[in-house]
Amino acid sequence: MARRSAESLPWSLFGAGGFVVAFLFPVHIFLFGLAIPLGLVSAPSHAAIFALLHNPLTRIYLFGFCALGLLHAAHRLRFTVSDMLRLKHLDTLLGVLAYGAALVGIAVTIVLLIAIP
Amino acid sequence: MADKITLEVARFSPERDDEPRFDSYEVPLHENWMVLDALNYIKDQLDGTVTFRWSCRMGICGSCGMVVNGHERLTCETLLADYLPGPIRVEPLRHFPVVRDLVVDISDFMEKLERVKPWIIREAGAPEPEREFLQTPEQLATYKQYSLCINCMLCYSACPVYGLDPHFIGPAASALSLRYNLDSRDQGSEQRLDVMAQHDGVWDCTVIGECSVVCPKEVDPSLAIQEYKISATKAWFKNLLMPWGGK
Amino acid sequence: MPSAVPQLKYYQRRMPINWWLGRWNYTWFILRELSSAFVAYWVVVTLMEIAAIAGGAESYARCQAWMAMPGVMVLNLIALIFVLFHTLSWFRLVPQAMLPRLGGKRTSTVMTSAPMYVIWALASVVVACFILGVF
Repeated sequence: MARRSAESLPWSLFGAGGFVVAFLFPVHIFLFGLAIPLGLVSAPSHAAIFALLHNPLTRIYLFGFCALGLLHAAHRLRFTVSDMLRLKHLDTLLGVLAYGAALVGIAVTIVLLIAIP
Repeated sequence: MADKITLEVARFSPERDDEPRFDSYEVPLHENWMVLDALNYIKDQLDGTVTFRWSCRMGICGSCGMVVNGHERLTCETLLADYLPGPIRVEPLRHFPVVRDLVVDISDFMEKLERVKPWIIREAGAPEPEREFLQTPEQLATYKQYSLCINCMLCYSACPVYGLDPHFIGPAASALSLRYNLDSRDQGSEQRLDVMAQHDGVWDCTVIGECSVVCPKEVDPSLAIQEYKISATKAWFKNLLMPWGGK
Repeated sequence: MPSAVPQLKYYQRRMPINWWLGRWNYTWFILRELSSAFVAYWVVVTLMEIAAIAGGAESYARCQAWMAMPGVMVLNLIALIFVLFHTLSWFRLVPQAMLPRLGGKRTSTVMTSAPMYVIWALASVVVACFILGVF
């Protein structure tokens, strides 16, 4: 009997990311993407938003937000591209591309969050 | 109500056809006739060469699964009158090789069914029981829904993942596998998890959910697969963090 | 006397490339999965915003001007619709598999989804308060 698959690991990250996206992404997109640009709510001043961003807890929150969002999207897009284009035989390659891209994004996230003055 | 309806039946004769074709038949329309009754009328009165599987004609044997107007149905439970004015297109189950007309080769499913060990497993070396195993109604309720599967394979026909990758263990096999894991009399969960946690076990599933939509017995195999993913993940992390732990 | 059994050929059908257009449920599934492309898009936007805020008041102002472009706002609206699609389908599908059976019966979809909506509402309010400077 072959060993049990390690698919459990990317799947758990996908699951955690799914909850993060479900609970947090709508309010972020609504505020930053629509409400603030449209003037429905007053935009936070640079000083205020910078102070919020500077806080280490905010940076940890944003790390989780971005990293889990990217891992969730990578897992899902890997399977969707495979299903839509009938590429089941290229599953390993698609996995490398998808999670590789996510890891690059996570590295960028870490660099940006550490580099905040 | 009209007194006749047309059926377009998929035909494939391996001795002379390279590809399937459709033959049209006009059958009498009785208000309580099912598609299966129409097929039997065709075979008895119009064209004895039409080939299809059926048995109980009451929705419990799982033999008469076909694709009716693009949707998976048990033909013994599918009213002709619902498809007025017709025509009604009857095709074999998808994703299985067609043997002849509406008959498909189900040996892949039979192999998978046996692979998931759908029987009570007791630990080796345990003493012979002195009496039957008792089970409360609550314990029965835990797995009963998954025990209702009649092996009709509508779910395999409906599942695009199985169509794209025939190695996928599939919905019905997963539901039946879980049915035994959840049975209080069974001690074989680890053995079944070895099978289900393979790459082409439950991990192929992308939660399309069409299997549960077409299931005539409301087994909800999609839920069984998701429960299995969670079990497999718990076991995987436990094994990773505590490899010394006994099973 | 053994008779030669003719080896008859079975007919194996292949999934067409446009299989997911053949049934509404399949199309809905693909759309649901493609919502994750918009998740990736929003992470990129978020990283841009972080860089802009960290860069000073001017770069923040430029970023805000970019976000106010009509084309960008339309894209953000589409992203919001897809992410809401994700949220609603996630709440319907996921909790059912996670929660144990109560007394042997599967909990109903409403019972498993309702706590998710409450958490969603609370999380959104808390996050909004932080962003808008209420805290």
